[in-house]
Amino acid sequence: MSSGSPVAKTTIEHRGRGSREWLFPLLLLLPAVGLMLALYAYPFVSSIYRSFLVKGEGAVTLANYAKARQLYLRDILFSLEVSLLSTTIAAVLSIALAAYLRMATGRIAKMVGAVYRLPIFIPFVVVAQMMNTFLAPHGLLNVFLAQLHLIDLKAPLQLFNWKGLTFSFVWKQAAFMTLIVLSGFKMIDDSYIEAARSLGARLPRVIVSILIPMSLASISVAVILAFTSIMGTFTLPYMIIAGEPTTVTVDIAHRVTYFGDYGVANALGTITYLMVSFAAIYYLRYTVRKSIYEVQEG
Amino acid sequence: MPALRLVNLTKRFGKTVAVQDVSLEIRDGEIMTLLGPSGCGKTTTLRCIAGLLSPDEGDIYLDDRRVTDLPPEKRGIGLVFQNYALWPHMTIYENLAFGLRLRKIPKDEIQRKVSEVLATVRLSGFEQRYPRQLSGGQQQRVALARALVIEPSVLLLDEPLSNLDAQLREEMRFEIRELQRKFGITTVYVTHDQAEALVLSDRITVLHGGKITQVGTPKDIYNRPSNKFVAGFIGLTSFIEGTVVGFDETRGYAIVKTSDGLEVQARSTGLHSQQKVTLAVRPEHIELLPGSQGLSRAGEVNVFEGVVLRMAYLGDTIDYRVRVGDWVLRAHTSTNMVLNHDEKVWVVLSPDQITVIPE
Repeated sequence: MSSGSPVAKTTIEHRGRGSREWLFPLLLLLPAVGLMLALYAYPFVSSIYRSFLVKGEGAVTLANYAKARQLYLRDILFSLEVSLLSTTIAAVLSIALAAYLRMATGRIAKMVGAVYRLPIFIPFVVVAQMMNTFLAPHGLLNVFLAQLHLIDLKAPLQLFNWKGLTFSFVWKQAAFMTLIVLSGFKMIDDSYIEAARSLGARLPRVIVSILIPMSLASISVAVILAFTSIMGTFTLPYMIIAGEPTTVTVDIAHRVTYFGDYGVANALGTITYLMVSFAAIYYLRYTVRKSIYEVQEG
Repeated sequence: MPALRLVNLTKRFGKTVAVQDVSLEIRDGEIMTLLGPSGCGKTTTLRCIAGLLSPDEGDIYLDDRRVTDLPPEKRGIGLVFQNYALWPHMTIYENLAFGLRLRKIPKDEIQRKVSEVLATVRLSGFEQRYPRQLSGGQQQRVALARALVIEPSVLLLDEPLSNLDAQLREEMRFEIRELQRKFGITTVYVTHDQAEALVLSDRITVLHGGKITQVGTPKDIYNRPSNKFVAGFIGLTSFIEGTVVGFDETRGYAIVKTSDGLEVQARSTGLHSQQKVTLAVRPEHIELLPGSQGLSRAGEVNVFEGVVLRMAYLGDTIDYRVRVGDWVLRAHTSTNMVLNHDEKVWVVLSPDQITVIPE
């Protein structure tokens, strides 16, 4: 009996010290977590909650969603379609450009390597203004195509619609995606590429069978980030799209500015978030899995 | 007819000449090692053969077919890398089938060939595993199998054992040699490890500063190095410099006098009087006699008095550094002979086992 007490006491003391040790890092985290909760989580949860409230009524209801569906279903689908199309085209272009920059060594490749990043540093509003000039009925693109006798300027290409918007998104996002994809390609040791070439693989096969599968993580991250960014962009569609359909972000602004209707605006925001969250979930799952893998490897 | 021929191959990187005027013939079915220190041009030469680098001058012939300007995918050469370069997203089967699929070989035939080559490298049953699930040695065998399964005309191995631990490296040397013999494939092997080169090779090409310094069998290279660099790079060697002052015509020895007055006799032909030479002696060819034992031989040809400077126990031998005149010689003796630091010792050099390198 007497020998049992000291052991028990030591265990209790140890536990006590252990819990205090556990508390200290938590305290250190508190300011950051607090800021996150106040500035991100609270407004986010609040906007979702308010999407179920109708102005002047206290009860929780799906009325805002019904109204959003009734008025903006076409725009919701339009947003999704333009985002998917823009992301897909930008992904294909960025993979092709990244593959070129990874494999080529000449002076032109160096020049392209220096220039391709420029769109990343141009804000959306500037891109929108540029595209307004570039894509206009008598803008640079139409004039250029007319010079080549590909179109008649009396019947210019009408690009202030999904085509112009997709073009603008691709122009802006392809550079950012190339940056991420290229960093993935550059992490692949030359020997993997050379092994394939020595076995008889030509360049397209090397890209499809070696570079892309070995950089799938980087490509996925680039696709998800670009898709999320496109879905949430307001300035470009606001300044480029003339008439309907337009994107959900423009609809949200419209709803708030002209009607002060935060309920429907919040419902549209929640719907957008749901569309993006599929991509976000994949991204988070991937980053968590990667960090676990890295810890295990380490 | 040589399977692979390099003619006046030169490769520059900016102002640096990595490979200079290298001409080499590699016979059908032989294993030729390109040996040399880092930066000697051995890997650059290999990459030129593989088509991964374009030579600035010279030509490469495979079975008398000029391939200098052909891209790597059209040369039909198997390549094995130091880091194995197995594609991590593919199973072992997919890694091996990759080259065969590119050749549009029927699926059944691919399966048969992959199974056969995996059996040869003793990895049957590993088809569905991924490279990360294999040990270093197993990965290296898969890399070898992947290069062999396409039945290349030439196999190139770029320091393939460098990433393995010492014991496995030694095992794999024999395994590679055995596989090369089994397939009878002309092989170019790049290494900086002279022991590896001696074990594996039919012939060795020693490179230094981008140039070939000697080509020969391992025995030739070890026993008859053509210059001081080869003698120093392959195995341990002690050097004594001097001038030919005479000849012992009856025994065919040259008499070499050093600056500190030693007279060393060594077998040689084609030397002339007053020629400056370097004498190269391997540690195992130097006999050490303790004071009392050596005294009786004092005055004989090539018996010199020396002092033990340092000793190192190597397990099966003892490595001694002995000062003789102005020269420090390294000698390996059995572990039975224990000499102490600063102990007087007699050094015996056999004239037949001294390599004379004319300057």
